[in-house]
Amino acid sequence: MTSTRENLLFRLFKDYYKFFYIENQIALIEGRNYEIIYIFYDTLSTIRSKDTTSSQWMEKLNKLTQIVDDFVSCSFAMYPFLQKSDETFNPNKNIIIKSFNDNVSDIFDQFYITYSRVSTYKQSMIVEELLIEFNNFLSHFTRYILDQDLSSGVTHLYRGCLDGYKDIVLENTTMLLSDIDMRDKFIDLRVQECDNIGLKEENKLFILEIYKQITEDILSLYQCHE
Amino acid sequence: MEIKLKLMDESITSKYKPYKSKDGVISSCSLSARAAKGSVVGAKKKYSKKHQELFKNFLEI
Repeated sequence: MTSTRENLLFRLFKDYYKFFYIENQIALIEGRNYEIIYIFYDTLSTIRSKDTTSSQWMEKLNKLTQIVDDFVSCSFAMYPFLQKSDETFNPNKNIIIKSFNDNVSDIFDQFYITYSRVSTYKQSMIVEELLIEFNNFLSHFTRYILDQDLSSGVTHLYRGCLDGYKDIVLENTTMLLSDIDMRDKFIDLRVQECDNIGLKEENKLFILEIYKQITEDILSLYQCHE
Repeated sequence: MEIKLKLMDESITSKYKPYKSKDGVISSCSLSARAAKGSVVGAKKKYSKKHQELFKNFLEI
C-alpha cells in the first residue's frame, strides 16, 4: 500500500469506524473518550497540512491504529457483552476524497482555525465541546461515505466553530462593549446571523470569518491589557 | 483518474497552531456556555492511565 494522503484518509476513516462502533456503546457509561477523539482530529489535521512530511503522516496514523486497537480490546475485556460490527468498512476511496473535498475541506479549515484559537485561549489541548462536534461530524461523514443519501455532517463542524468563538465573546463582553468599532461590528454580525438563518453551512462561512476577526480583536486587546 | 486531496493552505497551518503544553501535561476544558448545563464530561475512564501514556507518546511525534 502506498503512503499517499488519499490512502491515509481511507485508513483514518476505517480506524474511526472501528473506534466509533465500540465507543458509542460505552460512551454513556465511561464518558466520551476525548483523548482518542483529539488524536483523530490531530491526525486529520496533519494529513491535510502541506507543512507535514509523509513520515509524520505514517507515524501518526500507525500510532492512531495502535491506540484504537488497544481501546477496542480494552473495551471488550471490560464489557464482554458489547456488540461487534458485522459490516465491512470498504467504501470507494475516490468517493471519500471527492466527498471530503466537495463538502468538508473548507469548513474543516475553519474548524482548525477555531480549535487552535480556543485551545490557545483556554490553554487546553482538549476542548471538549468542540471535540464532541468533531466526533459528531466524523460519525455522520463515516456513514455518509457508505451511503451518500445521508447527511455529510458538516453542520457539526460549523456548530463547533460557532461555539468556540461565541465562548470567547461571552467571556469578554465588557471588553467588547467598551470598544465602539468592535461593538458595532458584533451587533452587525448578530443581525447577519439572524438574516441568514436556514442557509446551508457552506454558504455561511463568511459568518465564521467575521467571528474570527472579532475574536482576534478581543485577544489583541487582551494582550494590550496584560 | 485519481482524485487529489485538497490540502489545507500553509497560511492557515503556519499561523494557527493548537495549544501544546510544554511540560506534556494534558489539560481538558469545557466551554463556559455549555458547561453550566452539565454533560457526560467527567465520567471516570478505567482505561485512562494506559491511554494517557499512549497519548503522551503520540504527542511526541
